[in-house]
Amino acid sequence: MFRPRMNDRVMKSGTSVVKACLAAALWYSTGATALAAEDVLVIRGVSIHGRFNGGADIDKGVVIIRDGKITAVGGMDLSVPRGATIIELEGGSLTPGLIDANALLEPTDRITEEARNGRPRQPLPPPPDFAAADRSDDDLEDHDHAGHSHDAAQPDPMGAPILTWVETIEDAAAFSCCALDSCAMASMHELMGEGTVCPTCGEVILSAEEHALYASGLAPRTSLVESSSEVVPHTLVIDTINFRSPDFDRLVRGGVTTVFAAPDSAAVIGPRGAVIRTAGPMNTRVLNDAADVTASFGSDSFRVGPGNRSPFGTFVTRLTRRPNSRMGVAWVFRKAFYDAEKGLAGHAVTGADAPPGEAYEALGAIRAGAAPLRLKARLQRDIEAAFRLANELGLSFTLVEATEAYKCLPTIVNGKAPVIFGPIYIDPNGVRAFSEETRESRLSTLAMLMDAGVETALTAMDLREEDGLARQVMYAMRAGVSFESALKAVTLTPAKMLGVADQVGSIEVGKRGDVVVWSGRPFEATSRPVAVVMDGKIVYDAR
Amino acid sequence: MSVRFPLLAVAAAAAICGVLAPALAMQERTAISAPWAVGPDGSLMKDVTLIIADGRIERVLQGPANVNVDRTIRFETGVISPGLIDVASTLGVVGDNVERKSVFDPDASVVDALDALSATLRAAGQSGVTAAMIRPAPSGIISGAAATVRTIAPQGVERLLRADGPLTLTLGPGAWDVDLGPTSRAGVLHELREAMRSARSGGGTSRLARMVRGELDVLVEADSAEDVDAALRLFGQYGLSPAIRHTSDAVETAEDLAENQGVVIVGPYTFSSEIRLLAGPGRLAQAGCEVAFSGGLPFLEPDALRLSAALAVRYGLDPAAARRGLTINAARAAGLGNRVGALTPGADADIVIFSGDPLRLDSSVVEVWIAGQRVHHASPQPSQEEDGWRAW
Repeated sequence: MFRPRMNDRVMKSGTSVVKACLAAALWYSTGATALAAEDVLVIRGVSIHGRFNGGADIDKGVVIIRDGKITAVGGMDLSVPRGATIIELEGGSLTPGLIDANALLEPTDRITEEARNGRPRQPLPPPPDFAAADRSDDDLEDHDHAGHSHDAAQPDPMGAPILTWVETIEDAAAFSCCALDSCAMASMHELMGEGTVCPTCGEVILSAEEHALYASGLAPRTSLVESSSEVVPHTLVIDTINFRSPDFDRLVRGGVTTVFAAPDSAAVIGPRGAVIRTAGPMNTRVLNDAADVTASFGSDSFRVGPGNRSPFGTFVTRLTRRPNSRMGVAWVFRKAFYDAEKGLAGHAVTGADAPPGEAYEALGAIRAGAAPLRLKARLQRDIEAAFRLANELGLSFTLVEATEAYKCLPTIVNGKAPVIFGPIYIDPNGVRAFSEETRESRLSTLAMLMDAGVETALTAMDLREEDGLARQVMYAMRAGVSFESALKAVTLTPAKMLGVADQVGSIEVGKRGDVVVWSGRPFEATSRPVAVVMDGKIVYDAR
Repeated sequence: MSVRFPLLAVAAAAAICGVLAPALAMQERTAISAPWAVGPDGSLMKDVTLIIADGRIERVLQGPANVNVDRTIRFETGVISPGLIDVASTLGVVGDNVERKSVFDPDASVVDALDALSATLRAAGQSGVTAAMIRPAPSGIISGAAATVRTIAPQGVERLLRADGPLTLTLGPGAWDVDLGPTSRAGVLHELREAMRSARSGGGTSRLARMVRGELDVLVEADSAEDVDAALRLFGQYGLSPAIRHTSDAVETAEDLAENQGVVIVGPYTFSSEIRLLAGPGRLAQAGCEVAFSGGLPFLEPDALRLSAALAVRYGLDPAAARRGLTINAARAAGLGNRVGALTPGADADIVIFSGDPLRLDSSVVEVWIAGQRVHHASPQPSQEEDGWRAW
């Protein structure tokens, strides 16, 4: 504010000091550029997709990431700073890091915990080279269904360690047939008995059902949601996450860099999810620890987690409560909001199945539109119920899963709710495998939603690896979604829905350096992620 | 008549001297010297002489010492060590050590369940464990205040080193397996968060309010990595550095625990522990944590504390850190870092003379001193009476 006046003598000496400083700055600036180049990562020679508002896709170009942020995107003529780390891949492509808008993360309190004990950890073998299998000219008999030759050389277990330690059964199973088939003792696996460890390849032998089940992640009836009430929007999913879970390694290998960690559907009105990154130092992992609340319509809330008991013929416990049917689910949902309004206005709340007092604040915020809400519904009747109840209570929400959306498209379009759709499947797997309600899915549902103009994101939920998000995009494209729309459904659209579109979701200058480099065109069956970069650091390298 | 009076006077004088004998003994200055001693940083120092007066260590001298003392005791072989301290144990606690009425019981104190005459305490003392930080069972979210007791307390020496802390919290299945409140980790953390928030805004002198203000130290039992992350996040928000007891995922959480300033308590380890667990202390120390050992007393034998430390060294912990883990770090976790756990001037003279490095399993206890008094002297042939463990 008050600037002292300088007399002439001081001015002269001041000017010479300034000149000296400028000279020093010029002297050091060239050196400084060389030093700063150590924080520069350049990916060149690849096709660039997912610029969206930043421009059209580039056939062969360069992306420069400096200090964790994208600083330049252009053609091959873009100059590369000296001393930068360069990823160059002939025939490769680059997309933004994928974002799963509704990921069910694998919990650690799982049924197979006891199988962990005493099992030594092993480095992860490198993923199989699908392109090589396709190129070879082989008899069908020499291949299993995924096209891998039984005579393929056994992967070197010590080669190309990517993310250091494999956990136990889940990783063995998730890495599925390739690892087991390539073991020299593969034919003996069945004779070794379930739960034993093969001394040659170190994999845990699973039964066929277990294999299918755990390969896709979450065990069916396990629930980590607080079950002292069916209405728990005051609790947080982030408190249940193991940030060192191998599930994050699987997500990173599949190119997914940011996820919304969603709860399982054991509660009618469940906890608040979290927006988290799948790798990096702990203090950068959490972008939002209290995001959307997920409420579940359908039978999940009385099928998953501890069962609710009727008060007849048995002793009364905390679990003597609703719901036991879809009517009960709607009743509990409605009552939660009515009771919250009553409680917040200072009136006494009475009656069975009253929500806990701690939930009122969250419910009131949802009602006021201040806290985001997701309604999860698979069947057509549950989707209709979601819209009906939301209408009744004046709630705005995002529809999640929506397997039978094709049966009630007008409701969804007129309801103007965005949709997080997925996963795409024919035979229900993972958490859907144990429900009788998921048999009528269609591959074209996502295309129908997008053609109708509904804002849609695609999620793989609990599926990983060859059923993971990248493959979901492949199925979507095969069923009628354009490449650009499908890519947007796993990048920019979920970024907007999660409120992080200023940081991630597209290849634009100023956004975080989250990119995936693919071995071929992205989302093709013969292509896989060969490098995943997060905040300018290579977190997965399979070149 | 005239003969009886002097006899009575002599008898009275003798009785008074008898009563005052311990006090007189404590006012003596004693020098104890041995070829080795465990220094405050855990490393072994050569040719050490301790000057003990008034139940405390007055000076620590290295090399040949010429001091004016009333009594000199010289060990030709052996290592003088601060008395070992077991943390997070239930030594000497009789019956149930937690009140299962509510998940929040901050006003309970485990010292109310202490049986000072328990034979397990004496047996531990004879194995070189001179103090134990006992705590309520890890059941419910806040189970009460821990306490630190001396395992052997001769007459005139206080048994209770600390009665009111640290406050014990539990994160993990122990907090929600009880049929009282939350049923999941998310529920437990929600309740704890809310309790700490209302304690902060409500103020007051309750234990929880004092903990939140940083006036009462905390011990958090964290079962798995998620619990460690949650504890660091939650307590970090309040600027607190709790002592965290965590063994199962120590190899993975080492870097994150290092950012917290508190002591990390690990163990107990036995010969059948998984290698992944045994590698924990080594990784923790590498990352910069100070590690203390929990010996699992009285469920394991008294030597289990030294065994835990020895196995940790076998799997990567440096020996000096292991010795600190048995002594000064354990004292710090109990909030008594200034009083016991190290051979430093001013500390209580609770020392043990081992026949060799305490980390070596072939070292035995030669003598145990508490507050400057010799309370146990191991006989060459262990006898039925001396070996209190077998008597129990």
